[in-house]
Amino acid sequence: MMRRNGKGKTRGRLGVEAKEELKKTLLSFNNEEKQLQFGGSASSPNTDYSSPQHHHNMMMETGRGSPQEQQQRQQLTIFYNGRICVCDVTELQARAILQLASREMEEKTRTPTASDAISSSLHSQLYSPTGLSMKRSLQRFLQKRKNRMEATSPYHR
Amino acid sequence: MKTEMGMGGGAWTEEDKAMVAAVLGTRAFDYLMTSSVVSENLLMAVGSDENLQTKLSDLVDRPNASNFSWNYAIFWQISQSKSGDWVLGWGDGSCREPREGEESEVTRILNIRLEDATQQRMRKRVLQKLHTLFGGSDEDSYAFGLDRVTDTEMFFLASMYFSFTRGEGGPGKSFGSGKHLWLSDALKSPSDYCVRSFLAKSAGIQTIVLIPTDVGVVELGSVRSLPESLESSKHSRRHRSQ
Repeated sequence: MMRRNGKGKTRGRLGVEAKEELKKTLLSFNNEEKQLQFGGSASSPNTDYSSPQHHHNMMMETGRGSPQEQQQRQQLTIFYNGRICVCDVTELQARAILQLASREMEEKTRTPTASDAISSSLHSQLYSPTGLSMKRSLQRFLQKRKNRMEATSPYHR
Repeated sequence: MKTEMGMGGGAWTEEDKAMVAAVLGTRAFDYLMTSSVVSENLLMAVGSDENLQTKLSDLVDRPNASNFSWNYAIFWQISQSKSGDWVLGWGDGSCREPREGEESEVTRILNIRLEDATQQRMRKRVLQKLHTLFGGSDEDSYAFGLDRVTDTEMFFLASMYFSFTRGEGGPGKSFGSGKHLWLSDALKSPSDYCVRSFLAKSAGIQTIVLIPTDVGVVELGSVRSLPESLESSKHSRRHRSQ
């Protein structure tokens, strides 16, 4: 389920630095190194520029787990969306963050290239009178269909 | 100016093309691949008619006194480019599934087949591809949200992606000549009324009517074989003129 994007593109909000940090974290877990320092000045684990729990877009659970698990946490500095967060992460958390970041970057790169692939004349179709008519008809078609299905099957949701 | 409809660098594989051709029919596929689409600087000849949707719906969903209604009604809207070329594009439409006993016996027997999962998957993928090709985004992508795509729906939805200039396709010819067309035996007819004939036949459409107006072409279809009669003509004309 977990994916790793080894390409390290610089696009997207999550910068190269953050991705490098994450990769280092994962490597460190693999190599069983416990004393790895990130972010240059992260000498003190208590340096908190922002609280991890309230960090924007962070899905972190902190402070949980057995002593065994906590032993495997590594300090991680993440630069994201104009903020800095220093936190301790388990391998799982690091992987989750990496996955989120990869997905976000993929979405950002995917959308523009899709329209690059389509010639501009076609793309403008969407906003042409025909394109708008199509959208309208489609919406009505789908609504009508939905109504019909709900009418025939009262248990359908 | 006219621009070629490109496939977009690498967006369509040979497999994609074969799939689309299989689902839409070769003629429709070739047409979509090569038609020149006047898409820039398109101006609507007239504003959209608020009553249009109602009229088209009524033709389909409101049976007349003889309990007849069409299976689909499409309005091809005229648009004109700066250079004066006109093109018919999707304006609006409505469709419905055939009712019990409406289809011909032949069609009914031909349609008795097990739900073909492969065909369904292909239909959805083709619709998805067409949607993307025409600049649709993933957000309003609908194809894979459908539980299944019926023959009627496939014909109707695929039709949205077609445009016709003078003389092209059924609607194009009708508008160009100013003449209406009434086909009563579309299933048996060796000639295609349009590049979309393959799909229309799959949907069991036996009667097809094309009526040119000042602002476009009305296309009607029925799974019943209807001779051009005063009754049917009156039904359509009444709705058009209102």
